[in-house]
Amino acid sequence: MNDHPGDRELVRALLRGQRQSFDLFFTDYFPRLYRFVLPRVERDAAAAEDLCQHVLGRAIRSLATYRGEASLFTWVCQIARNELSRYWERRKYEDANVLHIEDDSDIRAMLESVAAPECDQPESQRLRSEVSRLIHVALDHLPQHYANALELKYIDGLSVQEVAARLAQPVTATQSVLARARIALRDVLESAGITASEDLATAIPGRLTGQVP
Amino acid sequence: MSAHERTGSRDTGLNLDRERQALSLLRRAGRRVAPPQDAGERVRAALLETWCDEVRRRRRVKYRAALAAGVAALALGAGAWYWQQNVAVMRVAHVTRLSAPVTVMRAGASQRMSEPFQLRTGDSIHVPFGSSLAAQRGDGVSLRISGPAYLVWDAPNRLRLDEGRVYVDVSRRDANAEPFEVRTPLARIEHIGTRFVAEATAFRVRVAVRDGHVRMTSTNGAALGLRRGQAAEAIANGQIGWLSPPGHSEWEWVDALAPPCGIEGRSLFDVLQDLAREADLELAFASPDVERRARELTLHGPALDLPPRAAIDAVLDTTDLDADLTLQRVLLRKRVTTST
Repeated sequence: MNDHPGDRELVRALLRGQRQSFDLFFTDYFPRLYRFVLPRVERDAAAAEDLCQHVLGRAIRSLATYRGEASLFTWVCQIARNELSRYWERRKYEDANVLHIEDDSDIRAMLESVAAPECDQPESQRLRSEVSRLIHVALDHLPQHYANALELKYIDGLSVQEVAARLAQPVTATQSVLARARIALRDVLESAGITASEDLATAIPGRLTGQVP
Repeated sequence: MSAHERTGSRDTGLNLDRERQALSLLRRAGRRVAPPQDAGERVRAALLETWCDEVRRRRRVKYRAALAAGVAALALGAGAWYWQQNVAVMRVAHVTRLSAPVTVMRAGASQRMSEPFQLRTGDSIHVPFGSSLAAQRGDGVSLRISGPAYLVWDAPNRLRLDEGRVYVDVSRRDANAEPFEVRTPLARIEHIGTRFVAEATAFRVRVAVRDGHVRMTSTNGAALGLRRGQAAEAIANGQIGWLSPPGHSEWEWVDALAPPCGIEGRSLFDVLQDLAREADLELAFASPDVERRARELTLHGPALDLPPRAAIDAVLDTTDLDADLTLQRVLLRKRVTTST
């Protein structure tokens, strides 16, 4: 069964050696994979970079085996999971002198910048961060032109005309993309059990804590 | 407003609420974390190299596979051509009937012929006195040889008869096929859709035509066309002269070597036509009813391994028809039953 004709077409173009397809593949998949890997290597940016390079390299070498039964991103994530297992296996046998995540100055700075003034209690902050991460994961699992349109419109606050200009497509098409994207995001969040609330801390049901798509 | 419409409106409102909630979460979550630009550039450069290598590797594999397929196809074609030219053509006929020992010389070694036996180009066949041999080519040419005879099958369509008698029946052969030729030391005999017998000795070669048309060319270039019922001979000085027409007994040895006649599932009419043709008889019917009956009757059983005249009697024994058999004709009629 082939449920992802767009992904199959991209893979075929990559296998044929079309340069444009490589650019599209990298632009589309590297940031998503990076976000997928980063929290799984304790926010070690260097390790995430290495792993992403390794995973995407393996994916490129195995493209001929992609059958389109899952989305290409899910397929790449599966390769990443395997690589992560190996990464942690290796880490287990390495010298105990490990740099803890909180010792990393970049990570510490980033964590501090994320903190919201009104959510200064540790538990609220953790939950807020978890919801944000899940929203980002949900965006990464949407078609990327949906996710990009949503970010431009609802986070960056651009008008539909401006979003259309950024996406290089007509306004009517952009409106349609935005409508579909809103529904897709709503469906993804609902299927993950996330609902909004005035108090962000209550937005995460208990069963979601620690769950990663 | 109907209940359904009210429910639909409620659903739409609920969906819009959920959509608003989702967008609210989206706004609070903010933009996704972008990978550091320098990391992206490093990974991109490394991946581009990996991808180019992979594309080149795939092209090499494809090219090699195409090359291998081409070479394989070429080898297959060459093998088929070689087989066609050397092996298939070498097999010229298979022996269908053999009486008493017959020896064949192949590649310098002598071997005793047995049934079944495949004759090949280059085979030298020695049929001793009292022996006989019948062979059939794939294209329908039938040969019968009566000993003593010595012949060489020196080309797929050419037989060299040094000594002895050979009967050739090419009447079932494709009209567009190459002519089959019998060469003797004193003459060359070519068929034109016919049945004939050639008999060679050191001093003369005699040809008798049973059916069709034969051209006989002597060593000095003299040529003669022979038709059904005619006979001629070429002698050592190259002269060709007419002989008296061959009698019925001339063909008895030929009929004795006729291939078995298959009858299973065939109509009596078909079988009788074959046998009459084989024995050079005219097939006639006492009345249209008899002919219709012969066409209606379907025969069953093993092939008749008998000379054609005896086979006609044998096949009619199992039917309600009978025949008057003369030298030239077989007349089919209703069987007369005598009451005791």
